[in-house]
Amino acid sequence: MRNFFIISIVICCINPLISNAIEPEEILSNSTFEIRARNLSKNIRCLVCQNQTIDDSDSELAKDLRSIIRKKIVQGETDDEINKFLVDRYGNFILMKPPINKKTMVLWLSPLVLALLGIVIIYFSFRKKNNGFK
Amino acid sequence: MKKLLFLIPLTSVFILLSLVGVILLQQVQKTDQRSLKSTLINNPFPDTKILSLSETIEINLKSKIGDPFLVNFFSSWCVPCKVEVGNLETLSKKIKIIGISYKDKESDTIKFLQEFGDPYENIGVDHNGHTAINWGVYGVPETFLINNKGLVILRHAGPITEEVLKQLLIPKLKEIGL
Repeated sequence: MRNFFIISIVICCINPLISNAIEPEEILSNSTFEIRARNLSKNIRCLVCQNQTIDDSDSELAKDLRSIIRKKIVQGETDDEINKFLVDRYGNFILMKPPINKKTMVLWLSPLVLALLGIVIIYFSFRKKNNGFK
Repeated sequence: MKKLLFLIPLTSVFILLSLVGVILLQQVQKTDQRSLKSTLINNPFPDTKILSLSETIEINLKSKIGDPFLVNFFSSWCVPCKVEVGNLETLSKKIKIIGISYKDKESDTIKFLQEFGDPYENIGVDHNGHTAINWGVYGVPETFLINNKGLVILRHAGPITEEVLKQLLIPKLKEIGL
């Protein structure tokens, strides 16, 4: 029973590290190309499953997107060109990490602005406390 | 006056949070991919050269520019595609429809057309799904309306039901004089 428990824990820990949806026949023989394909796939959203990358998804569309990425890498296209190809067809929604532009500025800057406001609030409250001691 | 200084950061936080909330709400509402606007709208349709069904001739969609036409991605294994055939036949009396058989066996596509009807002027085959990706397709069925200048003026993801036909497609066809 104890061994079963230990084995279960080990499987649970290892599984997320080795699991991905890529099938052996998809993998490119050129390891540099394959690494590029994997890195690109990790930033492309699976549009029919959402909140999952095409690297993790078993869906047909994710498989086709992985295949087109690999085809374009082999054809000599750069990562930026491949991302642009996908964004041109599916919009920025396909990217897991949205680019910094006018539309996404609030999204990217809001944590910084909130942190600054927090610092301002802390500064004023400390100053008030110090003034109180004097 | 100094006592009121604390209101400045508080008000700023409130305004910022409201702004973030509105944006997040818009994003949540947009997460249904079918409601996302196609990037092709008001743009030329992608260069599409595909092999026709059961023949070795190549269909070049650019050669169709001049008259409006519909491009319909379908498949024999797709249940909603069976639902829309009747409505596509109604549409085919007003406008040419180019069918693109998506990731299907040719024999199954032929059987599907024989069983449910063939509203298409031409049928191309997209065995690997790459043509569909080129059009930004999420799944089948999906339909695009192309105007006489070759611009995509409408995309409908999902089956063309009676409601979609009456409320979306027929009014849009009227707008372009059909």
